[in-house]
Amino acid sequence: MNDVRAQSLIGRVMAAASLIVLGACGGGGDVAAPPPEVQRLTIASVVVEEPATGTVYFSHDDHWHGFPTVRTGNSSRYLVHFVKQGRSPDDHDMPPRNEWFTLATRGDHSLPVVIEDPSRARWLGDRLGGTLFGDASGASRMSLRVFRGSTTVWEAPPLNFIVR
Amino acid sequence: MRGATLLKQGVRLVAASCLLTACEHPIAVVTPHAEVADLVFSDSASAVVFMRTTDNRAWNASPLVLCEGDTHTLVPKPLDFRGMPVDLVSRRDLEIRGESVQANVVWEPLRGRGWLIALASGTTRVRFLVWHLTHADLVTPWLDVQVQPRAACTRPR
Repeated sequence: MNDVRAQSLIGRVMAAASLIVLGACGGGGDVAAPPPEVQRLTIASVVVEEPATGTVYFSHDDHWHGFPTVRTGNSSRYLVHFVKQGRSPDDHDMPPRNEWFTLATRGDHSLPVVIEDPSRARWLGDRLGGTLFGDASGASRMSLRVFRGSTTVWEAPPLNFIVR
Repeated sequence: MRGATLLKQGVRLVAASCLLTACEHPIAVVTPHAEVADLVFSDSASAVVFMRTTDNRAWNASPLVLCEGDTHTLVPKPLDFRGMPVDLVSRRDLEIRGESVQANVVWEPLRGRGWLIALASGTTRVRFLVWHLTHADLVTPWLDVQVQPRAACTRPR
């Protein structure tokens, strides 16, 4: 009789312990996690490529390496790639090309670009890239954001550029 | 008696399963703050001091005059409260960040150095931060900067 009681007690203790362990280590509060069919987009940095010249500008934490230049009255076309893997603060190397990806398969995402001084330049683009039109000489900045629907998924640091 | 033994075994089993399946949260590695009192920028080629703060209250040369299109390669050196340099290169968790009010000047940090780039003529204010992972260990005062048009530059590039 005592054995039966003890076994019953053990069973209860183990069940309770399993529940506690499962509950405690569930990944830090995924209660509000999106449904499994929605794949969250992870972005660490953005790579802007100028196909005409092969020049590449890329963001790293708060800053950019490189800056676009466009001539007054002219335009330049840019492709926008992203990188998932972040880099250490003192690793200023360009992310390897095999890590780049675009928003091509992300039909619900968009890439709005805002020019700080709209009298200086204009941007016309889609989620794969765009064209920068130089209107007046000088420097300005552009902000690149990734939207899913109307929600900001990621924002790059402001990218300085020159209109010459 | 047998019940007690079974109970002990059960408790051991539960403890073992708890250990095996326990949380895999890593222990955070904390790196110390950089105790920085001043920031000195030297020219990378000549090692001459290009600009520096004093007691992090003022810059030695204000306004800083630059020439449009110039890129200055500078070596930032934080100083501690005894005036001793803090080794930035050995601290992979520290970086020198730069901010400019206007878009005509930009700071591009590199490993152990950085580029101060005068993109276009005009005036602006810049400041620098010794950035430690998630926060600033030092924020310098704003430095007035004048970027002269290329044609008006009298200094050699």
